[in-house]
Amino acid sequence: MFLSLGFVFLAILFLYVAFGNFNTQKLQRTNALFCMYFLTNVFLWIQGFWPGIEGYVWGMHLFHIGAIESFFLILFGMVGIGVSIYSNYYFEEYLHHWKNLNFYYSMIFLFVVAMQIIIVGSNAMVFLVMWEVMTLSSYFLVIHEYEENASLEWGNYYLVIAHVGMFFILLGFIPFIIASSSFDFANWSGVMLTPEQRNIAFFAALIGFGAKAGIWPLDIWLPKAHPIASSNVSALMSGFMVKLPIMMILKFIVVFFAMQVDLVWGITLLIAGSLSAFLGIFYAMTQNDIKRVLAFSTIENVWFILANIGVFAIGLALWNPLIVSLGLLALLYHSANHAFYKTLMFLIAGSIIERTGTRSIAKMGGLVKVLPFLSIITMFGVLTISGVPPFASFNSELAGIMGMLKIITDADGSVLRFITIGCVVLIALMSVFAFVSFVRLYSIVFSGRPRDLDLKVRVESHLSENASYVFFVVAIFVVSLFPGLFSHIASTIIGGSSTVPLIQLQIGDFEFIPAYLILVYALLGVIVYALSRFFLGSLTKAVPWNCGYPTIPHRSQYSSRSLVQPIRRLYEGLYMQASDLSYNEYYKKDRNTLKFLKRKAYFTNIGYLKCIRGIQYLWDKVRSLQNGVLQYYIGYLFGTLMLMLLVLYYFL
Amino acid sequence: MFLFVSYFFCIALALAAIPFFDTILKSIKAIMNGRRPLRLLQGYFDLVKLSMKQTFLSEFTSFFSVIWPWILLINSLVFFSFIPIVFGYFDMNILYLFCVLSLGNFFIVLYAMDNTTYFWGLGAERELFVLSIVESTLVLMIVLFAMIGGHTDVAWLHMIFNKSVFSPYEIIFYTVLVVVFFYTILAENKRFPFDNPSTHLELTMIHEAMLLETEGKQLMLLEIASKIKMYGFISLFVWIFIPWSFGITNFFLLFLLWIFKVMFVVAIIAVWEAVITKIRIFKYQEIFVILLVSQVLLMAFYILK
Repeated sequence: MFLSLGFVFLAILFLYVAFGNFNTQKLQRTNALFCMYFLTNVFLWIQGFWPGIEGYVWGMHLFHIGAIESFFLILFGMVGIGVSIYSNYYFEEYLHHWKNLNFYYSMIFLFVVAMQIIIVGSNAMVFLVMWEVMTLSSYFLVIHEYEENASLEWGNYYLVIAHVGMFFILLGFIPFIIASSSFDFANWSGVMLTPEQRNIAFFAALIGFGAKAGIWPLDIWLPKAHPIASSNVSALMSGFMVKLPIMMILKFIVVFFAMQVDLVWGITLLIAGSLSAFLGIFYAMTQNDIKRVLAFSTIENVWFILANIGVFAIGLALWNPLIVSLGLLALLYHSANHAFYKTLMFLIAGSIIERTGTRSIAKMGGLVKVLPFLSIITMFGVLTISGVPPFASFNSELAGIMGMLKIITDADGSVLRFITIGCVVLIALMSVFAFVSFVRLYSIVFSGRPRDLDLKVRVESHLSENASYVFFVVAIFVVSLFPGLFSHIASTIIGGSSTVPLIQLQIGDFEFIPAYLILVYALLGVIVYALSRFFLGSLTKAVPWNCGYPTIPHRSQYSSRSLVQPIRRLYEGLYMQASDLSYNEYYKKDRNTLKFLKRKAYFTNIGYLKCIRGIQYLWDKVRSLQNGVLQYYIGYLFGTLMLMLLVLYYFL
Repeated sequence: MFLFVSYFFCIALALAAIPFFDTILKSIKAIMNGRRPLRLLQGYFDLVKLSMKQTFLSEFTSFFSVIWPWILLINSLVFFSFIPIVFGYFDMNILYLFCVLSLGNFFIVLYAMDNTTYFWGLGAERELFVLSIVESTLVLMIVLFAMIGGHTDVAWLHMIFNKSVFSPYEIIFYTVLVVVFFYTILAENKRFPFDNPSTHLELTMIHEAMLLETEGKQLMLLEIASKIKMYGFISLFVWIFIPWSFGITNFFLLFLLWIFKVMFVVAIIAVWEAVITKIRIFKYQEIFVILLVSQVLLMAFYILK
């Protein structure tokens, strides 16, 4: 019933956004309508956790709302509400220089609806169609600045890789469709598959959904698509869209395979997860584009979550309740954290770009003096994103690492344990690199002096902008203070599937004490504030020592590149980036470096560019089938029918 | 409640003893270098002297620089308050305990970058570099604790080596873990092979470079914060690796024993710092790679045993 309310609401919303010129008032009304639409979902947020009323909607097997769906609907709703509030501020600029806001909002509308149906949908056809709608609408949102050449080029990466992923998703569904002869997810649950079918289904789904989540060789679209998209769309994509693959892989394991998983799958997820997470944040550390840093960090976080799905699957395969519960807890907790802080950071990035007119952090600096409120809000976001203890992200990372530690200590089989040791090292490096990259981002952007003297900063603040920041900061504090929420959600998800009543959640092994810690910090902060008023009265400002030179040039500060120079030099071999190695004339003469430069070119040109050009060429060829002549189409139909009959004759 | 009060009484006593330990460290180093030792209460005098000085700040700094030293001090205090001196009170994961300090690292880098001079930036850069190297060794050490002790909670860690007879493989574990933790203390607190705070040369400094022009009360705050952090690490070392209480049960005698144990570790650090030299910054990773590999070998040994 509540779902139908939402759909009726959507019809009105669509009519409203698709027609009529936009002005400030209409913009505000549209965003208010979007907010109200997300609020109609509130009933669905609870429905999945309510034992009596969870299940199928409208009496058919088209939409299903269980604990997993409700959990992801909560994240979807929270991200959506925050972004809607923010859009009031962000799109005001668009009102002046970009006329076609109707099209833009229609695409956002389609994007949102597709994501909603993907979450609640329980039918393979509905799912696939909506996945395609989501891809296409987000593609149009990404290339909104289509006048720039790079925009289309980079958008195409996204389109191609998303469709490659689509192919693999279809491949992953096929074994289930064959075995259950049905498109309903309901009939797929626990259906008997041969080992080959199981492996094909799982690995194809992993690659297919991994392409959307940024699996390692297919992650190239993420850092390319985000910088060109507008910030609220980036926030929606990075905050929520990348959670959909996670939800689907979780559904594959929990619902479709009914928790009967192979150990190999868990190990694959663990290795791929920790490797991709490490590489993602590793490249984030040296980026100069503020949105690329965040995009690479998205790769890191999503793959950390997927590594935890790996821990969860290993726990299921070994039937170890403690590993299962730690993995599940970590993945749910980190999904929620990532949804909140990454959305917050993308919104802040949008605001900074809007105010300064540049995406490059190499030009920024000293924003704290002109934007004190924004800098304090950003501090909370950055502390959370870099996993500093009183904040929620650290708790989820700790739960993940503890899950891996339990594998090392409790599991049998030395190979599994060795692999997990390697993964723990990678995850540890990942967390410290996340810390480094965001300390770097924050200290370069906010403290010090501007690195470009021409940097102009608009300082006027906007109520809805600040409201959205406060919304997400409050959300971050709530998840930091109440980690117990997630163990309830995890136990509902495990308990909801009746096939494994044996697994009881055991989360008593380690204690979260964020509430205590935050209280201590707050109390001491108040005392210190009182003390400092009294004690530090005689603080004087003076010119710092400068080796006798009269002034300190603004260029003499440490820049965004030099701050990570030792780390870059230490891991030189891993970067394989031409721009990173040509910082010194000396290196250009070095023969080994030349080899590096060539290899990098090989990797991008052959590895990606040729593939993507090839796929585009193939599409052009396929398009010649679509020639608009009716008799040809009837001919295709006839030919397909004949072919299918022949195939049937052969197989049956 | 009695436990709670006596635990924090312990913490307060230990905090009061920290400048004294620091004086001992400097004195032993001075004797080793052929200089005259310090007065016994010199550490306290230094702090008082700093607190009476006027504080100057760079004119480019923002309100960040006014607040951050205080937050650093709070962070170090919170870290120290979770460390068992005589007995453990909190069920706290040791990884949590180490990561509490990352807030302090965050703010000291911001503090350094806020000053805008190149020297401070250099300190920040090296601080991040050392952090990125130490982390994985630290996590593997925790994995080893979990493997051989079955616990990762700080309050339980002293049970691992609290026995009178060691089996041969326990001796190997003990030796490697002691070396790893010792080098972690030196690297995290910017002690000698990694940093030479007594010279003001840009080649050698890390921590000192970040507060080169700090003076007066701010310098006092930062000094106290870094000392608390260092002696927190040393107390943790004592708690895990020198856990023997020799049958003593009296609270005050146990505290005295703790003082002697810390002075023992301090003496080792001082002697070690006097005999070795600072190494090049791009050689740091070599030490930690050796430690990492030896830990992995230990794990292989344990798993295949």
